[in-house]
Amino acid sequence: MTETTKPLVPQSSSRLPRIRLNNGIGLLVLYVLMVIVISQLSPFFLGPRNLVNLPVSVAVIGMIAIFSTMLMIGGGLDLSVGATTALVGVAVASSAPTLGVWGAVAFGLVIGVLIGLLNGLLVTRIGINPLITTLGMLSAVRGLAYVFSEGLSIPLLDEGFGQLGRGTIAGVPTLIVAVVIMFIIAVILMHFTTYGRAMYAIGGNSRASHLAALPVKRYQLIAYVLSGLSAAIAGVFLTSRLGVAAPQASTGLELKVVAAIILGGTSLTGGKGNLFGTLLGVLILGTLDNAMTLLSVSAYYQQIALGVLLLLAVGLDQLRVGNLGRLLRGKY
Amino acid sequence: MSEASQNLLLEMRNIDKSFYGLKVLDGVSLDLYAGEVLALLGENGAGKSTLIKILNGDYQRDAGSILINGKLVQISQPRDAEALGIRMIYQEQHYAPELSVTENLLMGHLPSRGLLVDWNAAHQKAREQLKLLKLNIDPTTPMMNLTVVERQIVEVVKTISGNARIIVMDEPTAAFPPHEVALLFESIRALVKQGISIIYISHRLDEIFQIANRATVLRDGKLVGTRRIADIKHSDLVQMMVGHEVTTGTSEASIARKNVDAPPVLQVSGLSKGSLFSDVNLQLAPGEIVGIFGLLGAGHDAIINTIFGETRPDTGTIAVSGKPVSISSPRDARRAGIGLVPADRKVQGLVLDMNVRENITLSNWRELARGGFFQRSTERTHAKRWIDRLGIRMAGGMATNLRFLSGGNQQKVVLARWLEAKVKVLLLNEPTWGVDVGARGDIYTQLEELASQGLAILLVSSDLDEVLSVSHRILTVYKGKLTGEFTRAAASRETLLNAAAGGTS
Repeated sequence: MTETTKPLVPQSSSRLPRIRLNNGIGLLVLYVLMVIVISQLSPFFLGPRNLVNLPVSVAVIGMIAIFSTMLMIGGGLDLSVGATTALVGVAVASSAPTLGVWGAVAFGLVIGVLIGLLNGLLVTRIGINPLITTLGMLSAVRGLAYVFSEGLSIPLLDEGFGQLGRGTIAGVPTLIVAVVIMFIIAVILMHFTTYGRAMYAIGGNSRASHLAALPVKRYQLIAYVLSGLSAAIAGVFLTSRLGVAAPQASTGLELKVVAAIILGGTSLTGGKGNLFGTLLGVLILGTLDNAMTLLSVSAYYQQIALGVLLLLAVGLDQLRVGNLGRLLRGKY
Repeated sequence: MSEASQNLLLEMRNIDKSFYGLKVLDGVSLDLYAGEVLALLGENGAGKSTLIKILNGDYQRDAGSILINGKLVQISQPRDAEALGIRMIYQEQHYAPELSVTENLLMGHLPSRGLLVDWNAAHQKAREQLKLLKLNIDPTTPMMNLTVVERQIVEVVKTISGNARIIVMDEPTAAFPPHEVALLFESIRALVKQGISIIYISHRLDEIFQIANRATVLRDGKLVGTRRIADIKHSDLVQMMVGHEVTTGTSEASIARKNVDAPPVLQVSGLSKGSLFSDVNLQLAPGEIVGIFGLLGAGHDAIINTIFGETRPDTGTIAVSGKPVSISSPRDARRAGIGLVPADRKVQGLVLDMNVRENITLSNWRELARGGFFQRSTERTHAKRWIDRLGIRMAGGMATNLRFLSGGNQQKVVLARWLEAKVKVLLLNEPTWGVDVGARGDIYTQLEELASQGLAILLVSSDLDEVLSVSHRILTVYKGKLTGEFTRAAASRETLLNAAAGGTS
């Protein structure tokens, strides 16, 4: 009388680890496939020039995405990063003549920290929703960048300063070295320290974290400050690389950052995610951008592609945490 | 056998189910007759939920068959189960709090006259449906003004419309204060009279004896047996569930041992907070377990939340080990040596996506990290100590996500966290809600042992049996005021209930 039915999900004990690796391995495979396809379509893609250009062009997004990932794991969100990058660039370029170039850099970094601090205070102390807070900040900061620059691009040509964005260290572009260093710092912070553990706990369940006596608000505030600082660092490098600061620089950068992070497997609701995923997300996004340029896809279509990718990434996130995902995993 | 003459409505035969290669159901069978209440019993992890989810089509069985009215049926998704007349009532309720009972009941099917809702007809229809389950409430009342029980019954009413034949109730009373359970039972009896069969899952055995005809007991994924309730004793049923004899509660000897003359480790004086509670005075000696008993809404949980710094009191002082402390946040409380095990462990107690180790050490990083860097091996040793000591059981070691632990084991993890943080005073809010019988006794034993080592425990509960079985001293609360103090020897169900209901003792 025993009638067997095929189980909904495979029953091997290897299922659990496979789910955990799905994001990372799946993304890596996707990336390799992308590279293969694009290299077939464009002979320049794997050329030596492009192989240097590609990582350099994604470095600025990468710097910001690394620290935004930390923030999002802790349940926060920062949309003001692109505007901050522009304002810091303008501030550095316009104050360099009076403060000296390195004084101006310090000034720029302080501005980034202050913007992050303000974001963090508004979210944690006053309790405004992070999306609204940083969206408002995006607009205000972008406006400030136009005010300070009077709408004009400001050149900053300084030999030493230019080395940041255009120089190399032992043959490796300084920009890449900087991203790698920031990445390593963030990985150590997130996976080896109490601060990283706290961010996962807070993003996973902020109420329980509060009742477990964690300083939830202070830790979130720190994450906003780090996000502002990383945007400022990105602004400095961008200005150095271009030799000029423009108030309209990095428009829409926040969108790319969020898309890369979500694509990399960090949950919009916090508590889950990792930096390696973000790194892959940034590379995928940058490669796509790069390929579309090489293949002479119009800039307008590139925007559409970015939008679609963001929606796909968020859809994937829903799939992971939402009902559909639970159904597929046969859990609950 | 009276059942033999009745219709066999549902048969589940030799059901097998495995997850990750782990067998969670092994040849389990269950019979359900028309118009009976069948209790499905077993500790957490025994396989009750899995069996029910297979019946509801949430999971697919690996082997076995399901028959309804003697006919083989295929249930591969919840929609199939619904078509067969199978309904689930879950603990969590889904309703629109601002809308009236009528609107919640008839949502989507409100009678209309032209473009407008015919409210008279709607309320009339709702009233009739409620009357079927013996619930006398005004259907124009907003849902949020009902008691938990009334809401649960409205939920049942909503579910049975259509061709319902089998209703599965999974811990329906988990969130009820004990005295309100009777209301639900009346509704259940009304359902049975209409020929509907109930599968009733509960951890509260006294309920089973009141409402069920038969009980099917599972243990470790296997069928232990099915008994007629009339033929079995309480203790035998417990033994079937846990596989060995269980003793709950303290022996009188260990109460006598309490050193009540020791200076209090916690002293609360004149604590008041708005309309929640006023002029609360209590003290706790090291090694003492004090139970605060009150009916739901009496303000007893607000008292411990205030002591823990969740809300600021209007007046009053708190002293720990004789020193006055100012507590305005959980961080202050921990610093003062006070921990809280909250009532809703999933929402307030645990980070479900973090593992056992990380959850245990969440409040004690000062000792486990040097310069902010975790000392991995130290952390593991510390976590391991509590896992062994409290007997926390999980499938895959301390790297198992909390999500996959049973309720009792989850609760032990919260307990372990505060022990790891070396608190002197532990506050517990309804510590065994949704925890099964075996694990419940286990938690009581642990509390006993911790107290004997000097931990002061203040436990808030709406469960009389719990308060009576574990406390050395019991305080009663009525409308935010302490109304009585009893030693355990002097307390009885009647005296406690009387004092907690505002009667004079």
